Amino acid sequence: MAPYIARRLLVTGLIVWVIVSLVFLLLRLAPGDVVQVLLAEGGASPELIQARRRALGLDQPLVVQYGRWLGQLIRLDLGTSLATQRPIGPDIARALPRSLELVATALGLGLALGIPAGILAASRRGRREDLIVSFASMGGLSVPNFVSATLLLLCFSLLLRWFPTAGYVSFWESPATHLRFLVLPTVTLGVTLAAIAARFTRSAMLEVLGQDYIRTAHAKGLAQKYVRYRHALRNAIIPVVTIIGVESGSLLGGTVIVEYVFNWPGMSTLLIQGASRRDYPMVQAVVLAVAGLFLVLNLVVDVINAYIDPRIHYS
Amino acid sequence: MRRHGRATHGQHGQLTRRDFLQRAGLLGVGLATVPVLGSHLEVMAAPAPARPTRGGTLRYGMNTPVVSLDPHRFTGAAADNLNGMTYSRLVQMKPDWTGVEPDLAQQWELSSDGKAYTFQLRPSIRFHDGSTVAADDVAFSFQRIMDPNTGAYLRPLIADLLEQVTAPTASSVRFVLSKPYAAFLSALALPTAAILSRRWVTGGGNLATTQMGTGPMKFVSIEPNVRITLARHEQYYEQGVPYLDGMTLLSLPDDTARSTALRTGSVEFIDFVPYREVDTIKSDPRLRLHGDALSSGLWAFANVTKPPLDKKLVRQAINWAMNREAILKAAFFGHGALMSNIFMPETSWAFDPNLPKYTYDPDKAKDLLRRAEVGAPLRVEILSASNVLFWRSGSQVFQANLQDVGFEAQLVTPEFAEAVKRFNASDYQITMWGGGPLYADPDFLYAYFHSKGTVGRTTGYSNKRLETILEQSRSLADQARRKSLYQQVYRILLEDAPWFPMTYRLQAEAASVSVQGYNRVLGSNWNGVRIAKTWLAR
Repeated sequence: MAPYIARRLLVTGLIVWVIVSLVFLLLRLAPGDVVQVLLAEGGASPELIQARRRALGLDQPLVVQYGRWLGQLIRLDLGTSLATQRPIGPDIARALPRSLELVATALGLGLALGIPAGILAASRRGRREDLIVSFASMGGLSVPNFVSATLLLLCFSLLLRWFPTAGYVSFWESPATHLRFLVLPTVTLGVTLAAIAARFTRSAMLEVLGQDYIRTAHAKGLAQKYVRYRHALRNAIIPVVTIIGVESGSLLGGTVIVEYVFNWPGMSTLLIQGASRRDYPMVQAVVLAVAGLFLVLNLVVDVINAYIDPRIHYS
Repeated sequence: MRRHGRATHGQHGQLTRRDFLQRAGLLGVGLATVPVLGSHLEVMAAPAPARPTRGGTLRYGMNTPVVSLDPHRFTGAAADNLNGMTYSRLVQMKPDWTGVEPDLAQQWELSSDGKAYTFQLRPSIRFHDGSTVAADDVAFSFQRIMDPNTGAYLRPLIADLLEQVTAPTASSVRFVLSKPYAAFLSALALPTAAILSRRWVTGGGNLATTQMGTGPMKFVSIEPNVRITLARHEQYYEQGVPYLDGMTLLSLPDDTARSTALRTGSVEFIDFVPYREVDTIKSDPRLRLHGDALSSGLWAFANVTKPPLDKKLVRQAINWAMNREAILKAAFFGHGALMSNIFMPETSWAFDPNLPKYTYDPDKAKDLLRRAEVGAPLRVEILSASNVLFWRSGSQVFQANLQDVGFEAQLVTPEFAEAVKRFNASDYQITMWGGGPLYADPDFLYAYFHSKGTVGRTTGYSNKRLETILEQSRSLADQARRKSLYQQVYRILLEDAPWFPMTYRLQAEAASVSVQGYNRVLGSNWNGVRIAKTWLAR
């Protein structure tokens, strides 16, 4: 296992470097620059634009900019935001846990809702429970994030006043308020994930439950629950774990809508702000962090799968 | 008790003139300075105010996050609003834009040749760290502004005018210009003309991560993209104010979230009231709208070097082809006013009520096109931006209007950053634009229509007679004389039609009724939010 992990880590590092270099290049291909964007509202003179570009090093040849940035990375320095002039490292260090918290709680909620629902639907196939679960998960999958986010906001915040509208308070400041702010964004994200988990669990379970060895286990006289969980679920869960791994990875970068509507100040906020302002170092740093995390997550998923299923051998 | 039903609000949800005049008499302290202008001004009248009470923290939901804390750089309206609260300038704009009034300088005089301003500072002004303000701090601040490395927004506006800034005494500052400049005081009132502490900056104060000024609110902390915390400056130069203990600026970019936060009481104040929510907020008796439709707008520029826009008749035709009512409805849900000739707030002394107006006249447009004798097809490309919502809606109507009179009008909507780049590179035929004037003096027209102006340089428009008048007017002190010059400017612009004025738009903040004494400046997103005399009623 150990040499496998080591090799995977090395490959991960290479992939991250390629991704980030690509982003570096593509960013600079997009027309527009941070100076012109920030000054647009007020109207800017060419001299001011030139002076700012010079001050920010944007007039240097691409190779020089790339070299300078790689040098910073090696020193573990994520650079300074071109827009805010603040160091990027602390901003990401602050934002990353917030995004992770969102993703983790949404994941937890989604799995806690979705997997049992899928199992229920599979074991009561064709009957009322199955129909309800299938219908609900179809709904959860079909409603786009921005619709469900706004609907939840209007319903629970405006109409019912159960939860605050939008914003963020850190857990250390006030745990209760922090959790109240967490609910609506988590539910928005979790609902979609629950729907996905329910559907995948249901179909994987159905497939497994139709297998011969399940019939054998029943014939041996084993209890329903034992068969369902010890044998069926354990096999069915493998594809579900893989899918969840992929989904949570894309969740990391995909919390954009939720972070925007509920003003949950996470990584997606930094990314979108950085992209629309052409704040190159910020976008590069966020992509680096997210890509690295995503790849590590996938490695973890693979390791978990190897643990669950002894048939899988990694050379 | 629903006081704000249809009966008092006329057809479009706006106050009727009669009702407005009735309520105008009840306007309280902060709103009393706003002139009565009928349907252009959408303000809810306050009941006669009680005495200000001290205390409380005002929560302000901001539309955009504050990008940079450096008060000399322009990075958007949010930063300007913050700087309006934490820093001071020598002078500040009067709320109705009729001139400037004292801020840190209590009086000033202009030399007889109009080239030297001497400002007397108020006695005993203190920075937030308790140190006293001296004329030397003012001189230092302007040295920093004029330093090209700072990237100060003010610099290009006064670079070839300002010769030196000195501090003849500890409490007086002297600015010497190379030639008289009528808008100089208005430039000094801009949020980015902030006064810094020499000792604090040279002693290592980091202007990117914190603020240290003389404004009514003291900067306490920033949590990027979350909130900015401010506290009362106990030693503010004006006695007894600010009434508020502090403020919390919360980042609420989503329109629905921001207006919902106000309606549920999570915040007491929001800016950039979304046009879709204006009627809802106005009909809520616990809320009040503070706005004007005088100082910002939507329009388009022509690049007069690109055919067929190089022909004056074609450009005039476009102005007659435009259905401004429809644009106002599409872009701003009807909240605003038509801009039918020139962009000039009604409260400005340079406003000309007798200026001829464009109307919606497609037949006249077609006739002008015929006389222009440009061959078909008439192809024009309108540059807009995908992420500026009212540019998008407005430009779609505009495109349809042009097509109705025979243009093949194409609408291009890249992302804003790309649109700005193309604009600065003059890579457009027609481009959407909008916003507010750069500063509160009609000289802002220089920026738009002089070939050396920051915007005018991209349009290719250059009318020598117009430029001479603009240059002349900016060096005169006599307002009457300047007014007659600007009236000539307007008529030249109507004749040449280098641009396509569309509408004024409502620029509004909204607050809970508990927020009293909000001293609103016209187009306040350009000039900072004034809260020194604002207080929270319990």
